[in-house]
Amino acid sequence: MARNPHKSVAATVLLVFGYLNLPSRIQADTLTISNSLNANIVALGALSVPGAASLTNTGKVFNTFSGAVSVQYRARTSASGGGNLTLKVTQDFQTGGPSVAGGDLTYVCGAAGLGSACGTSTASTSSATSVVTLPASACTGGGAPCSATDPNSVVVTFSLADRPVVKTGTFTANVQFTISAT
Amino acid sequence: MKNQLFRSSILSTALLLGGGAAQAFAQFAATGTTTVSVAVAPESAIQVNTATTSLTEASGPTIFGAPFTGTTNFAYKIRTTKVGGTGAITVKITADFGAGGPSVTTPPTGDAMTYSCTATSGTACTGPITASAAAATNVATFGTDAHSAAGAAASDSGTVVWSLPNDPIYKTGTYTATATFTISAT
Repeated sequence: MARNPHKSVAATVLLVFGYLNLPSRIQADTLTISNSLNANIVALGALSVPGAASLTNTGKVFNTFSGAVSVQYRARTSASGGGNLTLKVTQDFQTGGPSVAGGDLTYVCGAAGLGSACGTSTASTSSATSVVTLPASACTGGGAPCSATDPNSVVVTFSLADRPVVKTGTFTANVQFTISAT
Repeated sequence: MKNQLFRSSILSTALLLGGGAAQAFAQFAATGTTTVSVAVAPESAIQVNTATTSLTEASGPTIFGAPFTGTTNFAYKIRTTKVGGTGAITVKITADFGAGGPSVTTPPTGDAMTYSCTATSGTACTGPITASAAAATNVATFGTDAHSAAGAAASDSGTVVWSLPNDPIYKTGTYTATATFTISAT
């Protein structure tokens, strides 16, 4: 069925005319619309670590190897909750090298930007060990009652025993950091 | 045109800043993994446990028949390269006995100070070896992929047993010399 072009033009003109004259027809009025906005703020934790870290020692007289990793983290805990930042060695050094399972790797934490930092601890391949403990109602950034800085950070300094029995060569281990918050 | 360029520039800057902020936080996650690496090199260390070794006449004074003898104890740690590595412990007399007494540098005929060795790893010297003030002399040698005892605090040990002929030509008195031990590993 063919459309009538005259009808279409007329309708368009009427619409334009109506739109242009609209302000004169609006009466002053106040319209209040209430709307509920619900935000479900949950406890959260997130962290960032460098992809690699080297452990070095001074001299060639079996001094302990050491190296530091700066862990950046952001967290929010609930009023009745808390949180933990932990580490676990998910892959030990290769055969002939140092042994995390054998207790060769220890670490100590510097001051934590949020929460309580660990003391000297022995890294483990079988269980996660503490780096930072987060209290209830803890939050990153924005100033009191949250921390002043965003993100927070903590420096973890690793110490690796230099045992004569270890063979020469380069050895690597993977350390997984995990943060949780409730 | 100028305005457009200006707006465009602000927009680009905002995008760059936005991109940077996003990038700074992009690595945040519930977990993160760091690969820890260590380069283990050949190393060696020695500790002389007998700071002063007294050489005494085994048969008592006034006999002359027996040499002065004494034992220096030492502990060491060593790790040599797993392919082609070597190691050594040596000793050198870095300060000779005083005038009128025995001499390592220019001993009277037949009066050279000698020593023999023991070591719990490696190959200890087979005495008697003549001590020298001119060059380091062998105490023990180590081959490729050599390792002293396991444990960060553990070490191997060895001894040097000194023998100094008792020559009537020496004046009475107390004489001291310094023996410097060196350990090396490649």
